[in-house]
Formats: sequence, structure tokens, C-alpha cells
Amino acid sequence: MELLKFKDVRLEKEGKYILQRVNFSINRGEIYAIVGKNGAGKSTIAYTLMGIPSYRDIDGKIIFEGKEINNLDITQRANLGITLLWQEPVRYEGIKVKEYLKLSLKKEDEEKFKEALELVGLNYRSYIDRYVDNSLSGGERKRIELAAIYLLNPKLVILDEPDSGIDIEAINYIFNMLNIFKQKGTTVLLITHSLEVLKRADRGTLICCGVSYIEGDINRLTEYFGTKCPYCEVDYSKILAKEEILNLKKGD
Amino acid sequence: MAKIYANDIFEKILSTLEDEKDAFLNRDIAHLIINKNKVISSNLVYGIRVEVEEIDNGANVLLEIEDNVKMEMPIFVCFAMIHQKGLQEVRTNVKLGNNSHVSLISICNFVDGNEILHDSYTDIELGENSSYRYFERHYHPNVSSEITIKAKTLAKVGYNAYYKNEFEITKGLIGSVDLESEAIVEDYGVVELGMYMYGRENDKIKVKEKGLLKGNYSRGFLYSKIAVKDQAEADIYSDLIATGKYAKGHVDCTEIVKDQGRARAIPIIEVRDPTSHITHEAALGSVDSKELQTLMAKGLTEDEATDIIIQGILRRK
Ligand SMILES: Nc1ncnc2c1ncn2[C@@H]1O[C@H](COP(=O)(O)OP(=O)(O)O)[C@@H](O)[C@H]1O
Ligand SMILES: [Mg+2]
Repeated sequence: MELLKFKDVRLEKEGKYILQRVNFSINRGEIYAIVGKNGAGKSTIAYTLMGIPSYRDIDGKIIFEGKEINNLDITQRANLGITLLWQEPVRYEGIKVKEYLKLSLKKEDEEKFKEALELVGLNYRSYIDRYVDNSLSGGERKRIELAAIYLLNPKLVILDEPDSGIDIEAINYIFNMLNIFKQKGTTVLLITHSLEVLKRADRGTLICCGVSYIEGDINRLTEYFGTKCPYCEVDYSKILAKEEILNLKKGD
Repeated sequence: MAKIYANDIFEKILSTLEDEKDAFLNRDIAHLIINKNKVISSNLVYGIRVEVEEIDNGANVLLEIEDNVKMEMPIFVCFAMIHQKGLQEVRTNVKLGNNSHVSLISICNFVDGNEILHDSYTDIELGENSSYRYFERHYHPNVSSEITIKAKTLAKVGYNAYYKNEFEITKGLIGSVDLESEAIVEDYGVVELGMYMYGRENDKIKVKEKGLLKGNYSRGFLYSKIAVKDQAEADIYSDLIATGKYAKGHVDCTEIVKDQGRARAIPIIEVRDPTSHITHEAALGSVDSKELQTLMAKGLTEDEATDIIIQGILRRK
């Protein structure tokens, strides 16, 4: 059953199309990946779907549960059950973790807060009275955001590079959360440029230069991951090779 | 043991308080509640002397603390206007002895108010080596009403004494507020003056904080966190002047402006002796859009999200 559909979505910014033509559709309960290199347009897809004000003026259609949602604002989309984990979640001065989680659940429930924090590997007693501000590391902040989203219990969650800024040990909590979303029937739009993360998805689409150009299951995407994008002639295998060389150099 | 006289007004006041409710019910914590011009409830503890003279439209209050008194718990005071309107005039004299340490939490409860003018004048004298921490929190109605607050405080901070005065109106609509808070600081004395205010709709805020670092080695810190949205306006004057030698000070203003709100920060710093040093920092900005969007993506409206973010920024830590 289809939950979300992007139909010929285009977005122009400063005289150029940063989304040229995006088409994909997601079924209820699946983990659907948007895969592509930096600058491909992945976060832009997340923002257009969430309805962020400067990304509202699109051509094409975004259809959620059979209805076009182009004209809805963020709050209205959130109330339909869509939410977003930003690539880099913002910090809030003077708001405690407890209060922050309460915004998701709409009530105070120690047991639930505890459950959510422990799912992302954060100790309840050590974190519940801390502030969601600059005193948290990037990884801690992101895990708190995931806990908040867990409590929000959305129908569709957009995870924009959930592994970025997270250290190796904590990454399993992120993957674990993906499993939990799956069990609960929460649909996930998983944005990534990592093969390791892509493996956790059911299906997905490759995106480059604002074009979604191959849709399919994970094996198919993996197969094409290292190949040339037909739209901008970018040679993925070269980019990957370059990154590997850089990594080797760092390793010396 | 005296019993608390639980009449309607006392109940009503308690029912509208948030963090302070328990304190007014605790027999070990000193308190005084005045509704318009009548003492509704009081509880005194050893070492402090309180005299209240009820006048036509308010009260004269004398608070005296002897030498060498160290109070572990704060004293709670509440000025309310339950079922009242018009003027409430409060004159307060605080005298703190040498080596004494006190903190006072003052609640102004005007939750069901309309056509209220709260006019207060406070004179404070701090003895040598003493410390006095004062925090005033206002509870105002959430609907637009005619409330005017005029408050003036003058403190004389003695040798090596510490004086802190903080003022907060973030709950409910302010109405119109005109505050002046001044301190004159002797050798080795310290002053901290802080303001936390959130103006909405047609609220008008005018604040003057002034620290005169007269004494050698005296120190001063003036800070204000003010947010305005809708058509609210704020003018914040912060003056920190050092005439003594080796004085140190800092002025810090944070202002958040949203919608048609208007805020001005006018800091004046001045040193009269080259051994003294005063710095100043001001930040004027709006509510961060990504902070708003993140909360809206959890189903909050823009207005709800704005309030939560601003209340966080204005939170006293
Ligand atoms: N507001 C904007 N104005 C102009 N260009 C933008 C804007 N947002 C993104 N872009 C451009 O669009 C492209 C895609 O960006 P983005 O969606 O953030 O990529 P990704 O998330 O895949 O790394 C980039 O070239 C970026 O510079
Ligand atoms: Mg991105």
C-alpha cells in the first residue's frame, strides 16, 4: 500500500533546478532509501517533503495517503504523521531533555521517557535533567532527537543521514532504532550516502544532480552505486576511489 | 504552632503559583502575603523583623535582619491584587546587618487583574560582609488587560557585601512596565542586576539598570534577556559606571525580536580610573528558524514553538 509519492517534483533555487525531476513512491511500513553523493539533492528532498518554508515552491506533486500535501505547512504535515530527523539537529537553550521529550508525548511519563532514552543508549538518570543545548555532543543530541521521534510515533519519519556525527559504538543504536520503527510499522525515508546504511533499507532510489534515476531493491541499488550517473556524467567509481585515497592518506 | 489561615484569597494565590507553592505552606520558611493593602498570611522565623503598616492603597514594609544572621532558606513575599483593582502602593525598607546572609523571593500575583497600577519603591542597605539575593517574579493574566508596573529600587551595597537583584515577567502579558534598579557599591562590594522579560501583544517594557562601582575593587554585572513579539516594545538602558580603582564590570544584553516587536538596548559603560575595566556585549536577533521548524515538525504551531523557544532562552539558570 502506497503511503507517499513524489511525482515529477522540481525545485528551482537561484536560477537553477536543485531538484530536476524526482519520482519515487514508498509503501507503508518499509524502509526506503534515498542514496546519493554530497550535493545530490537528498536534504532538499527531505525539506520539500517536510514543507520547510523556503522549499515549498515546487512543481510536481507530493502525495501522502492519497492526498496532495503541497499546500500544507510544516505543522499540518506533522499532524498528518510526517516528521524529520535533521542531519544536524539544532540545540535549544534552557530546555531540558525531560521537557523536550514531553513535547513529543504531550504528557510526562517517566517510564516512556526512560524506555525511549535507553533505546538510543542514553542513561535516563544522567540525561533527563540535562539541557538540549551546546553541552551535548553531536551524537548525544542526535540520539535525543531520535528518542523524541520514537515518542512522537509518526507514520513517516525522514532520517537525513542518521549516521553522520555518530561514533562507531553508538551507530548500533541507530540501526536498532531502524528495526524498532520497522516492528512498529513506522515508514522510514532513509537518506544516506553510505553503503553500510543502505544495507538496512528494503528498497530505494539513487539520486544525483537532483534526478532520481534508478529505483529498486537494495541489490539493484548496490549494483549501480559505483557507476556513472547518466544525467551529469559523474563517475561514481572515481569519486569513491578518490575518497578511499584520501582515507588512506589520513591513515598514514 | 500557628495555623495557616486558609481563606479564599490565600487559596486563590496558591492555586496560580508554579514553583513557589510549597514554600508558602512550609512552616519552616518565612513568608508574608499582602493582598492590595491587607496582610493575608505571614510566618516569621528567628532573626528577622518584619513590620507592615497597612495604608489606604497598599503597605509600608520594613524588613530588618540583625547582624550575623545566616538564613538557610529564602524568605517568600507575595503581593497580590485578587478581587481588587486600582492602585497598590508598596514602600519597602530593607536593612541587612553586618555578616548576615539572606535571600528573598518576591511574587507579584496579578493573574486576575485589570486596571491595576502596582507602584513600588524599595530602599535597601546592606551591611559589611553581608549578602542579599532578591528575585522578583510576576504572574500576570494571559489575556490583554490594563496592568501597569512601576518599580524603583535603590540599594547601597556596603564593604565587601554581595547584592543580587533579578526581575522576571515571562508568565502572562506584561501590560506596561517601568523599572529602575540602581545600586551603589562600596569597596570590595559586588552587584548583579538581571532582567528577564517576555513582551507580547501591546506590552511596553522600559528598564533602567544602573550600577555605580564607587568602591575600590568593587564589581558589577548587569544582564538582561528580553524578548518581544507581536507589537510589543522594549527599551533597555544599562549603565555601569566605575569611579573606584581596580573595579571590574560587564554588561550583557540579549534581545529577541519577532513579528512587529521592537527592542532597543542602550548600554552605557564608563570608567573614571585607568585601573578599572568594564566590558559590554549585546546580541539582538530573532528566533532561529531551524529551532522553530524542528518543533513544528513535532506538530506544534509556530506560535507555540516560538513561546517554548523564548521561554527557554529567558530561563534563569
Ligand atoms: N537554499 C538553497 N539555495 C541554493 N542552492 C541550494 C539551496 N539548498 C541547497 N542548494 C544546493 O542544492 C544542491 C543539493 O543540496 P542538498 O540537498 O543539501 O544535497 P545533499 O543533502 O544531497 O548533500 C547543492 O548543490 C546545494 O548547494
Ligand atoms: Mg544533506
